[in-house]
Amino acid sequence: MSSSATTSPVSLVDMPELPLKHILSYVGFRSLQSLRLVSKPLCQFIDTKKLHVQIDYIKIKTYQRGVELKLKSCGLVSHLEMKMQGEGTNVSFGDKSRYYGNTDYLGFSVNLLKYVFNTYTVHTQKRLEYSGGEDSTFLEMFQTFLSEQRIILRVFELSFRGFEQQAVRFLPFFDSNTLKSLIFNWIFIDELNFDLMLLEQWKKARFLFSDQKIFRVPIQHFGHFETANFYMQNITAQDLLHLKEKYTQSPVFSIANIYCERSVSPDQVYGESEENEWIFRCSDPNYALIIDYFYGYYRYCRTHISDTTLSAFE
Amino acid sequence: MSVENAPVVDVDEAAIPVEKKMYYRFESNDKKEFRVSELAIQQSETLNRLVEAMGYTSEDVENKPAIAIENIDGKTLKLVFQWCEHHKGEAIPVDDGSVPKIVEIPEFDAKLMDIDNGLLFKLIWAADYLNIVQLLNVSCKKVANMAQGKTPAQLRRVYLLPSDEEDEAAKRAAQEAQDPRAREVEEEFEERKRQGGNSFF
Repeated sequence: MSSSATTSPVSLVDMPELPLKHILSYVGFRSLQSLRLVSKPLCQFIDTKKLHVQIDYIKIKTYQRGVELKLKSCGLVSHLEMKMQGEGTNVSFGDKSRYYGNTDYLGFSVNLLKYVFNTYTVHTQKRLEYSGGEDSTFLEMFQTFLSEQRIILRVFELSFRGFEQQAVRFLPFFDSNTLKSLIFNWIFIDELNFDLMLLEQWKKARFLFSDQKIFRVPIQHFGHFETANFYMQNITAQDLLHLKEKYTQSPVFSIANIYCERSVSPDQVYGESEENEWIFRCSDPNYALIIDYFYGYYRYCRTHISDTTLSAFE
Repeated sequence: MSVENAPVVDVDEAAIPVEKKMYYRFESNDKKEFRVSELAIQQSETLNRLVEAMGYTSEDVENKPAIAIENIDGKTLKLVFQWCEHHKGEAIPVDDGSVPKIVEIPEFDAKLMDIDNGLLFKLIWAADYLNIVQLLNVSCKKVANMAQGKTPAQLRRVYLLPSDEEDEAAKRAAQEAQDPRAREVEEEFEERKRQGGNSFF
């Protein structure tokens, strides 16, 4: 932390500001917390210089009277659990625990996240995992903080377990250009709702895994995903034509697994097939689209032409 | 190319003829002299600007005194020039402000930096002073890697951080500087130490 570059350093704290910032940006979140306890000048430097920190994933799990936070940075995981206990909060971290009287566990948990985002410039996270229940209080408090601080989460993958309306409110806090993968594990089947599909974060995502929820929206809302796994209530002839058209034209489509409660007979749309398998040429002559159907399950797969029976007729 | 074979010529120990191309002579603060190729110097923005401003010819290099680098000792400067010679001609990373960067430490650099921590800190300091971007990146990454999985006590030893007594002196200096955040940080620090010497995370 030498203010001028005139003498060689004998220890880390003698470093000029630029190299020290460089070093501390590589150590990871957990090591930064350890370094804060080593020396007061270093603690002050870390707390006041808005250092860059790479976070690989953040996991937030809320349950009845408790919140679990997990944060991984540079290969090291920090794990905390806040539980309501009497009038206060019991905090477990590592192999230690501490009790805070007259402290709300939700406020305490949100304050920890506030500390992370206020103290550091948090860089792209590979994954943010949220798992909550019916009570949205924690999520709303976190969203209020993000909104007030104008923080946009730059996350590659969001894994969300909760209600659709919670997801609709949470997704706008993610940078739509960074967010590529959506994993939804719904805990309630909502009524017909298009709100999610209208968000940029949905429209720009490339991978979708949606479990348990049966969608009752037009299948066109799913055609842009390169890899998709989802449930539909009903698949019509128009839906099948749309998917075939979309997937054969797309240069990036990979695979889609679509489950449905009801479907028109695919023979009526794709032609008769004894083995319930159809192959169509893609607009790229090197690729073909293979469609398989088995009792309410469709599998669309873009495959290199040499791996299909079409190549035998070339 | 191994670290030992990197073509930095320490004039006092020079036994191998230097290639016939433009080079410059530099002198450390302990009077060690080095010959460094023009291409290698380009890795250092500071030295590159300096030699361009001087406009030396090959004759000038021989006839005029070596360029003095007053803040860096010979042991450190040798490592710096070995690194520059090994990486000469390589593109210099553009700082786009995206920190932390993804930095891989090449095998040559890893061997070059297999040195005691005090010398490594001097190397970082020199890379910063001479503005050698990639050397600064790899050396900072190397020092950062030392923190992995260490307790505060281990970090104190690894990073040669001051003792508690010296911390007290730093505390007084910080208070004297009248930084309004200093006292707050100090109180928080003391509180955490009282609570078991570990942070939440």
